[in-house]
Amino acid sequence: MEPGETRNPLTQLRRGVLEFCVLALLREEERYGFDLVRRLGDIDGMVTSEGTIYPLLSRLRRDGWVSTSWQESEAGPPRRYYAITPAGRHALSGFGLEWQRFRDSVDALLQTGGGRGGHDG
Amino acid sequence: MGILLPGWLLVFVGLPLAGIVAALYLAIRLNNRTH
Amino acid sequence: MVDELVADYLARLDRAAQVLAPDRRTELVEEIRDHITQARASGTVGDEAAVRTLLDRLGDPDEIVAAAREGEPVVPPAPAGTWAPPQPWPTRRPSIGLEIAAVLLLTVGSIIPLVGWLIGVVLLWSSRRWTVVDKLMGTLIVPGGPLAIALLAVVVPGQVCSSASVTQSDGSIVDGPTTCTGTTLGPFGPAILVFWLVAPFVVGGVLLRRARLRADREPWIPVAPSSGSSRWGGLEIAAVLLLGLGSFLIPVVAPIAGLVCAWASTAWTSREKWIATAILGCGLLLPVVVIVAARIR
Repeated sequence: MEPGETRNPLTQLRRGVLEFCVLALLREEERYGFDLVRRLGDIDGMVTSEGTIYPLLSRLRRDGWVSTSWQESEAGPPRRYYAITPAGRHALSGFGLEWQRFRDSVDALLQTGGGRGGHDG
Repeated sequence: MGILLPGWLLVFVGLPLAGIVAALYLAIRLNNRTH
Repeated sequence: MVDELVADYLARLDRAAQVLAPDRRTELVEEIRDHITQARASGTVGDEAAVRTLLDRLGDPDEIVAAAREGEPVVPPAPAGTWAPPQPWPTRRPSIGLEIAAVLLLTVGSIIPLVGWLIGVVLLWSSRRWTVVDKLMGTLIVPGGPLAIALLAVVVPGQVCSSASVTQSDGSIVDGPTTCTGTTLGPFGPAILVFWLVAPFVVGGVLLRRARLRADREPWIPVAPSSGSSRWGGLEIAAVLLLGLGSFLIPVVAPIAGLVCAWASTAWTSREKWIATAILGCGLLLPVVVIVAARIR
């Protein structure tokens, strides 16, 4: 984090989670770049800068979690379509499990404050 | 023989020429990706 | 005004992306440019305000480049003073590659039986820079293309005329009626031939000039100082070289190898690959048809 940046944990959280959200969008069908960016951009609070999704897609491609192909479109030049790879599916399901555990743990902590035991003031 | 000779020439001329056209087509499509 | 907004944004993005590797930089700018083009093409981004919103949503160019830099090797920025873009940001005129290819195929390309000229017609009609009148002119002068006549000369037998001598009843010998077989162009033959061969080239020149003039009136394209194309990999170069030049080294095998390379590449869509295959197939099949037709006759 840059010095002076407000300590908003959700900024970091969003950044870490965003790539798995992309993978989740690609789980059922392949999509082209503009479509992906639009969908993510429409989800409130998901991305602050839509342009950063393109470098993210490149990173996913480099890591082998996503593959691309060119396909014709009805009007205009061919588009680049993104599809999830088996490695990507594996990463996504792994994240899904961890996220569930993490989410449940944080929820429980926020609600009950940790329960009895430990230091009492 | 007179008919056969031009025919085989065409095969060895038609295919290279078609190859040139195909190469041109693919090259232009690749260069014109954004518009 | 809107075009200037977009060009300015892309120029800022390209400037910020200097710290990236050149191919990554070009790719990123093109992806963002494609995004803007698609957004505008979708019809939901019409006026200037909408474009400003679109660019805002895309985000600050520095932020986008920062995201691209994560985990990437960084190119150290050039020391101040060694490189600066001339003001205003340099632009290049739009290229007329499609139009040049169309004219080439309509004229020279007609030497490829049937197919060459036909593809020229397809490209002719797909251009944005010619009016319907222009396109009709290019199609009708002349159908089949100038060099199709060379093929016709091979396949269609010329005219053969003969006149048998006739012996009259009084013993004198005179020439009988002249009979001719085969086809001919008639008394205007040479003139028609010259027109058929020359007119398409003249029309082609006119069409190219018009395309150049119309293209120059379009918005000019911002130029990246280091313009490296990230789409031309080894496979793509091999495919194009083998298809175009390979037959002169290793006939038959090389163009087929080139086709295989094209299919193996991911840079072309399936439809483009099928079109290239069809072009090659026509070059191979049509001579075979000609041979068979000649044998049947």
